[in-house]
Amino acid sequence: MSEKALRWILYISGVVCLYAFISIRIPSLVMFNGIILEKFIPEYWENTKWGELYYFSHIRHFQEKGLPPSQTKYRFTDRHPELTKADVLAFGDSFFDFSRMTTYPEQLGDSLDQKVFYARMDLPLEYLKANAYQKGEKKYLIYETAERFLHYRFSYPQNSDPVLADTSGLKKVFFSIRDFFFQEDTELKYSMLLSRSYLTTHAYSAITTLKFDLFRQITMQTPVYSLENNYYKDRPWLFGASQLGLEPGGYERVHPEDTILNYCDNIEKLSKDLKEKYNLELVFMIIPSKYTIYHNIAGMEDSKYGQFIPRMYDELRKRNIPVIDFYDEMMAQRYEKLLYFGTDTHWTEAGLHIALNETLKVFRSMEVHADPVTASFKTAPKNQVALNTTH
Amino acid sequence: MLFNSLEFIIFFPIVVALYFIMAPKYRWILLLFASYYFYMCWNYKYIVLIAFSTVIDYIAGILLHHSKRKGSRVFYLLASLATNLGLLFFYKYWNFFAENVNPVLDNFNIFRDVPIYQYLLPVGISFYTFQTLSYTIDIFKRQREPEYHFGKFALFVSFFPQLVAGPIERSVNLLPQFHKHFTFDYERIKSGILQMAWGFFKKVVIADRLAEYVNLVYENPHDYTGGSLIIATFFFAFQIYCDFSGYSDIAIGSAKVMGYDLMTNFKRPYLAVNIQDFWRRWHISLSTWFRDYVYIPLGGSRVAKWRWHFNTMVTFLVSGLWHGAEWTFVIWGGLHGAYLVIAKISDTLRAKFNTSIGLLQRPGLHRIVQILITFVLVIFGWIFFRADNTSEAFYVIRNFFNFQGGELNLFRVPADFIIAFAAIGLLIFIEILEEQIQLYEKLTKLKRPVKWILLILLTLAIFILGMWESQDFLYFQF
Repeated sequence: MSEKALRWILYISGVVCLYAFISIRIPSLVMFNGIILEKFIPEYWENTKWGELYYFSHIRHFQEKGLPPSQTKYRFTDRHPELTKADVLAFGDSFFDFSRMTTYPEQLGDSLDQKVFYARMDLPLEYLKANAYQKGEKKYLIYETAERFLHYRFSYPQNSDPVLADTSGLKKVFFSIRDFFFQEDTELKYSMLLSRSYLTTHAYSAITTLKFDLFRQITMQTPVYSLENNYYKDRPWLFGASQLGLEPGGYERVHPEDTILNYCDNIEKLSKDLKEKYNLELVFMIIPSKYTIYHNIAGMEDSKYGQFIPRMYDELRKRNIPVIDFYDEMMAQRYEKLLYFGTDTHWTEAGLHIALNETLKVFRSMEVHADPVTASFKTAPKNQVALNTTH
Repeated sequence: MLFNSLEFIIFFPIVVALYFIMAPKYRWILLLFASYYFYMCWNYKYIVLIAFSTVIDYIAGILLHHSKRKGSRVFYLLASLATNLGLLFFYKYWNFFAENVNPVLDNFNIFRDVPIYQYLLPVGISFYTFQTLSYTIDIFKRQREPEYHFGKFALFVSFFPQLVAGPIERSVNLLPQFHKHFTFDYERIKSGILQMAWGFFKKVVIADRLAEYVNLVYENPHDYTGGSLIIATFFFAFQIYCDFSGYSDIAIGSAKVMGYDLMTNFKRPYLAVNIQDFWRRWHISLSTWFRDYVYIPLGGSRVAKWRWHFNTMVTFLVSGLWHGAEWTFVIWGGLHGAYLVIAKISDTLRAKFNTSIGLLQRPGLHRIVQILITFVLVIFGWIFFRADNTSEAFYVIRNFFNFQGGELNLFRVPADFIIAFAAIGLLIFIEILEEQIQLYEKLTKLKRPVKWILLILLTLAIFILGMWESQDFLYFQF
């Protein structure tokens, strides 16, 4: 290689890297690279042909076939009501926002014949305050949390009167400059750029697949997997690390009684605050981790479960907090129906329907009219709001 | 920013490309910005500490040089030392001090606890503090002139390749280089890139792989006995070496790409024939720092024998404490000091013994025995270095030969066990070669296709065998 060639290689590398540096910081360039950063590009759902966990491993053997295609998320459709005009509020995480099917809030709206507002967040008091929500007639707020996230959300009480971040004037300028240069999760964003950009994705996938074939090496984000010997022989399985073992949200973790009481104290406090400040009745839902339901596929025994969900619900019931408990139902149906996708963290429509049916039972017990849900449940046309839906 | 991160892999080519595009006289500005950005990626608020040290030492340097009165000069030096060591003590040693002083106060029925603070230890504080200390001490000793260009002095304090984990550069070596204008040098850049690649190999293929095993065992040593403890300790010896020397290689290589020569920090330490030789090969920039600024000012070896041994012990105890605010590090330092003192005392006796068994007549065998004994002594020291506390270190020692069976391959991916040993074997093979011949020069003389094949193999090894989900550099904590 000549000196001139090396010089040009260095210059070109510099330009390419400068582009990468900028592109993880500018939304339109993010989209151009085919990186999924939903925060910036909510309707852009390219590169999700396979299950979400596949994109951690990028090992070709885990390209699960038969996944329903992604669609526009409920909260970005015109069926989604404004916060102030909703009859029911549903706050939660990606389970309520999963784009491979008509989402839970959307189906709930159709079933109750009411407008269900959904926001993806975990601090309702902060969200309601930031959006100037006013106390009015009694409404229900469904708070959904994935089993593995409960620890992070309720280890401490949520602030009754949260202080909203001041983002005016000079501070705003300072924060925007700081956030541009010193982004959070830079490593993750570069990793996504490398693994999902059209230019590099095939090489990246080839290397990770080769490492798996040679050494059975797989990312620590999905350390447990199964390609065979499971009840669903037609599909591969991947399990996320945060659902396993003795981690706070892990399957085998046996939480001390004090910890369970602490979580429930904090949930009860949230319930009281919502009632007092906004006249909202909290209905609490814990979605079991995929590993909690399908651990047998990875060779784990039922008896090792730390009983986190049953213990949480027992305590919440003692405190008269309405709960949507479908853990037993899922365990009973886990081998009859595929309730979670093999290479995705999230539930299938069959899993969602179990949760929805339990929700409707709870609503009926609170004397709210609810239509039953079946596997052939149909939702309203996209241009109609839930209130106008006919079944 | 970690060297083994995508962030650095993106950052570095941008800096290099801009560096060679820019007019040489303005390059210091680019490097200063890049260095501050590099540090701020870890925690942008802590840059204030570096800036503060920079200002104090810049002013102290000039005042020291121009002041004629001894009293004033001592005052300026003490001001610089107090500022730098004060910050280091406050951020690194305060809690250690409080944890050890409070029980003593309680014993004397003084129930006024020294407070314990919860804050982050600034990354690299021990490294840049020592670097700036050497600058002011050298000016005090009239061994160098002060740097009048504030920007270039700030760059000397914060130069990103060696900012957070060394090598701890001397101002006489590094500062003059910031006044030079380096041209695009094909051979130098190639050699720098190759050294970086070798550093990456040592870090991501060897150190980070071994870390999995070592962490598993040393985080819960009571769950393991015999075989696992021996393997974990053996692995740690290579983990810390590959981790730190890998970092140094990347640092030296990246500086070399831009034209700067940083000092060599490691010279095949596990091929040392005695402990003194080990310290000539291990973390050279630190051991020479302690030699020049602690050991020699104490009198070095030109004193009475007992004082010489005392000086050795003090130097190594302080060196142990430099590595961390824990008694385990102090014991580790003390152990190495004791090794040296015992070696000096037993010098004649050992020579006689070696002669009597005929070992001196077989220099090859003698050398191998010396290397093995030194390695065992060093490994014994690493137990204290790695253990979380002294009781765990003693547990490891007590159970070292307590073989009760159990699984030896503790890796999540079983193949890593074989890869780990193979990689260590390769490293030892290469180091033995380097000890015998000028390996890099030999490599450059190979035919072009062979060179390309070797480069491709090294790159593939880094990508395919590398553990990229990864670990901080061990020496960041110091």
